[in-house]
Amino acid sequence: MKLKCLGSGSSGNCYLLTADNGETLILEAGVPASNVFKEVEYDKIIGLLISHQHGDHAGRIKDYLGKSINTYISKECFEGLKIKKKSTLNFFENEKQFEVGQYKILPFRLEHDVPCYGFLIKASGHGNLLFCTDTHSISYNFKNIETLMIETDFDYSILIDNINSGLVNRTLGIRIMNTHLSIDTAISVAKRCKNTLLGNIILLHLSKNNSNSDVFKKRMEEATGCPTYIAQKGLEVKLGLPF
Amino acid sequence: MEAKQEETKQIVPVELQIMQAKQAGEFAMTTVGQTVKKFEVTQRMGQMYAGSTLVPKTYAGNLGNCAIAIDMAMRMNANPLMVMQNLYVVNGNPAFSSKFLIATINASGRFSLLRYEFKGKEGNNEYGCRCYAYETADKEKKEPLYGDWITMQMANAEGWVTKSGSKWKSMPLQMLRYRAAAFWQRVYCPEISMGLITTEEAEDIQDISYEEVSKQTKTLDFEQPKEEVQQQQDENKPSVDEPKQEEQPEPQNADDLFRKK
Repeated sequence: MKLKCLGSGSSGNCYLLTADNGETLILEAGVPASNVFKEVEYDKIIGLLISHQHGDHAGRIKDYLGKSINTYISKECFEGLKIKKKSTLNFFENEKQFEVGQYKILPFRLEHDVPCYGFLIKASGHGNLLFCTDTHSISYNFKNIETLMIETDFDYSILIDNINSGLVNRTLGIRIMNTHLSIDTAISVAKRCKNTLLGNIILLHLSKNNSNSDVFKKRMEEATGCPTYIAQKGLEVKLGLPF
Repeated sequence: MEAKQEETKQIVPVELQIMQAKQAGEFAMTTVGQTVKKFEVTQRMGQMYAGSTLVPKTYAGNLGNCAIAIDMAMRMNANPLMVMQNLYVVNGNPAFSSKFLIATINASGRFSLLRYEFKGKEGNNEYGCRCYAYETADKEKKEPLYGDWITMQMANAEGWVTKSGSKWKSMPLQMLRYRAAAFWQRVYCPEISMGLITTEEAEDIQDISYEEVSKQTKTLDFEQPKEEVQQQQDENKPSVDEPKQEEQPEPQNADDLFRKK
């Protein structure tokens, strides 16, 4: 199984999760679908999973709705997006697991300023993949996490410095603190998820101004002892244990 | 010459002593000085009581307890030994015996003797008691000072009756009287008990042990297929026909299997 990042952050998020047999699940529709189709054969796409309605996560959903790609969103997200109901649209519910191809998916509620969901994803022959982005905190524990994809939007000290220097608007700064995950919170979640299976950590949605990718990577690796990657366009990570 | 120097040496300490005595006298007149003096006296008295064989066990050899009892007795205008004999430690808290509290109210001279009024039928929930008295100044007894009704219903609701070893089952009349008096005193002359409750109340109102419940974090995981769950349950179920064998430790990993062979 491998993961490819086509975009991460407020400019647009999209990740491709490709199983060993080539079946690909798209996570988020924040980049044009044409970028996706350049990377993966259309027939191999088994579904699109969207966490919430914000443009950097669902802004390009219409690119997919015209095609016969099963799209999975929450009802709140559907209402927020104000799109027409299509036969390929499927609604998931909090903590109700469903299957897309060989993937088992368990959505769970996160803490954002709009209804937002994280996903626990399991492909056959692999441990669990945890995907959490755009949340203030994560109020669950998880078992058998093999891959952790977690938001690390900002660092409190950098963000506060930016607010004080006027680089970040105070209101926006407070909104970020209340709706996104800091590196400190992400590290504590990663520690909670740590088990013998945990092989890769991918840090998502780093803010352009309020983060430091090198420091974040180093801190996460030191805290968990796991190889850590920063999600950016073009990143490709082979998932699963090395045997 | 030498004799004169010797005389000077002796005079100076005497003058110093006089000056010190004068300062001590002035200090003793201040509020702090009086407190210190009172403390010293209490301590001396406490030593005497602590060494006595007549004081209850809680006070014997315990200067601190004795000093507290003496201080309370002074404030209540009562005899220290009487306070000691009626001040108990119940569940770690000091409490007065009800009879002492009633006696103190009666002896205070501020009120008439406490009277008890009953209502309802004995054995019923409505059966209850309240206290009343008159102020000494109310010679014509026009304004009775009524306390709250203490009923068996209240005793049941508060859980006083159901506590193990509760005297509410064996002597409800006495307990109703005591509780009514305690409630009355708390309303009309709370200064008498100085915030302490009665021993009977302390026994009824003791803290119960509790367990702090921390916020539980839910663990999220996939549902197991029904067949797998059933299979697991079947495996865990002991066989009825076959006698249960001693459990053998399972090999930890593949290497263990090879070693066995």
